[in-house]
Amino acid sequence: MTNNLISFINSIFFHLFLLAILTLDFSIFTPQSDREKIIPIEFISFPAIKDERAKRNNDSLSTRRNNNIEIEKEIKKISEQNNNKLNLNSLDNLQKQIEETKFFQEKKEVQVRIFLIQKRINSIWKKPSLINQNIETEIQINLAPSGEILKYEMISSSGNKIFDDSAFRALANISFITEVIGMDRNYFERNFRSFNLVFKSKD
Amino acid sequence: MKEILDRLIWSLNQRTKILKTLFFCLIFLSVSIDAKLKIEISQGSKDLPKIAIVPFENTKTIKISLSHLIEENLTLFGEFKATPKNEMLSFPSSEDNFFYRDWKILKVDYAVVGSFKEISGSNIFIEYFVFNVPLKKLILKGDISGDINEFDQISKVISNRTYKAITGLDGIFNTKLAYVLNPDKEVYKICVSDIDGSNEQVLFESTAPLMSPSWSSDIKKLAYVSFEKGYPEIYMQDLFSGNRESIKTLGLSNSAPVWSPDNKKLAFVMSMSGNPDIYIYNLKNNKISRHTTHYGIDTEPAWSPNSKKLLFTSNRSGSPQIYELTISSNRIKRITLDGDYNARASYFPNGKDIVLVHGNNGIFHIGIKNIRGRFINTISKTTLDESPTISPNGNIIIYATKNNSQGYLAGLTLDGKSKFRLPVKFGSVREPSWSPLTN
Repeated sequence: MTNNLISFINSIFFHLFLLAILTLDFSIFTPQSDREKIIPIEFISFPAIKDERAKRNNDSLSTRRNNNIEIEKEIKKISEQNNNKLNLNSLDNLQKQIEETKFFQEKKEVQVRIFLIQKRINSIWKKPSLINQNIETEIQINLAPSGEILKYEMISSSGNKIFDDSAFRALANISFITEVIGMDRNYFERNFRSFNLVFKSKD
Repeated sequence: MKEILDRLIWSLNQRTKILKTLFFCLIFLSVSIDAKLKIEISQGSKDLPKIAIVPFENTKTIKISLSHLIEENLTLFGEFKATPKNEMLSFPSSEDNFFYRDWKILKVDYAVVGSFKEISGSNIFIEYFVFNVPLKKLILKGDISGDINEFDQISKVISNRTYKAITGLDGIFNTKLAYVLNPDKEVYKICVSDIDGSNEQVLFESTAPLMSPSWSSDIKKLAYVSFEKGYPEIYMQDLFSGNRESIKTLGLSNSAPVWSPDNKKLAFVMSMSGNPDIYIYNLKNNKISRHTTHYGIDTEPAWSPNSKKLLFTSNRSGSPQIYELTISSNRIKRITLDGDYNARASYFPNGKDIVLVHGNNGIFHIGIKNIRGRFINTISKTTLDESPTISPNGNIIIYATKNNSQGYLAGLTLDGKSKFRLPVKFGSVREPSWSPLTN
């Protein structure tokens, strides 16, 4: 179910992405002459320049070049303004950046806790001896913010009772997962309130 | 030109910004939907399971310490750590007076308690319980009656059942070991002993070399090679009557007999004209069939658990390597590719993995390989290891190794947590062969 949802949302974003690329300004790829046609000098009225043009029609080449540069600048300004108005206002951008950094902070914090939990459970799990059998058992654990194990139950069995029992034995030996203490409450709720431990017979 | 470049950079900037935001939105969404965290645990601890064997309650004054024998059995191969008696907080004898908290404090994983009483004369009745302490579960409840003079056997039966309840593997404490003992240069003995080295019996003694003992699957006979007539010949000896008979073949040299698990055939190596090949001797109709024809040396056959395939060592590629032979079709497949020496292979009871001697540059280790896998895992730390034999439950390997030219038997468990040496015998010990399960 979740997989379908993810792929559905992914496809929405993919299409949005395509749309965004298509609607972007491709004018740089059009030839120089065409562009000049599209953006006539009269497009933005500069009275001073107009007068100048009228006066000095003869040496218009040098002035025209200067004018062009200014016009370019002006266009840039306008298009930037338009952009800010249209789809990418800078406030949104900033917010997203903040969220990004938050997201990475959370990820980092969670990774550290995961590593500590792995280390702890590895040190108490007495793995039964199996010869080249590749099996795994998955156990769901519900935690309180204090780290206390509220409940654990098997999600999927390995099919080997001795192996399943060994995983349960490891969990029966601990009543607290102290590794989650002291982390941001929101992070805890999102990641460690309920999580799965996968015991694997092989690395 | 410059303006084009400027424009290009600017529009690229815009595009990457959009891309970035889109990408992070995607990550946010997918993460928030598939939120369940999964933590993988695969290594496990190096500690051994702790076992407590409480002295059995005794109504009469019978002077045997059954719990001591069981403890000796279970800790024989270093698979468990025993709890000393003086650390125990209580001495329960049944389910009713067993309290889990007394044992949880000691971090005991399994506890064995029991009691025995005299019924009549020398007959005793024993009741025993095995508890899984962390899970607070009774995992085995059993009883056994027998003669007091056979308490050694009784302890082995209880150990086997306890071991099976704890590990799920068959108990091997009443299996036997056959080996060649070489007490001095000119005396060779084929010996059979209990797995802990006790109750050693000499089956046959000779001044000519003896080699390659192999058990029949009903554990009534032993096949071995003797040089007593000046050339190698295969003998089958009945363990109870002591009768010996040799296989009558035309070949000049016969060696490496191996009994098939279905007890119907004997694979061996014979050389008709100086080139050893694999042959099979049918025990029912006494017929011999040839299964390899290559001009290289083919030797050391080992049966698969279903008696349909044979592993053997051959130097047909230039160096000794392991090959698998399908008996019905005589199809041969090379198994090992790594190293310049691979020999003495035998199957695990699962039929999918093999144990072998793996050598590289003159150093020899015991290795494990999956039949279909690519790599060989070496598991022994000593060098100059030879002739590994697997316990019938597939969890322990015993092999012969050398220390200052003195041969002795060493062993290890497959998880690598325990390594042990079998009690030192007077003289060199070689070619151990583990008997099949007795029951």
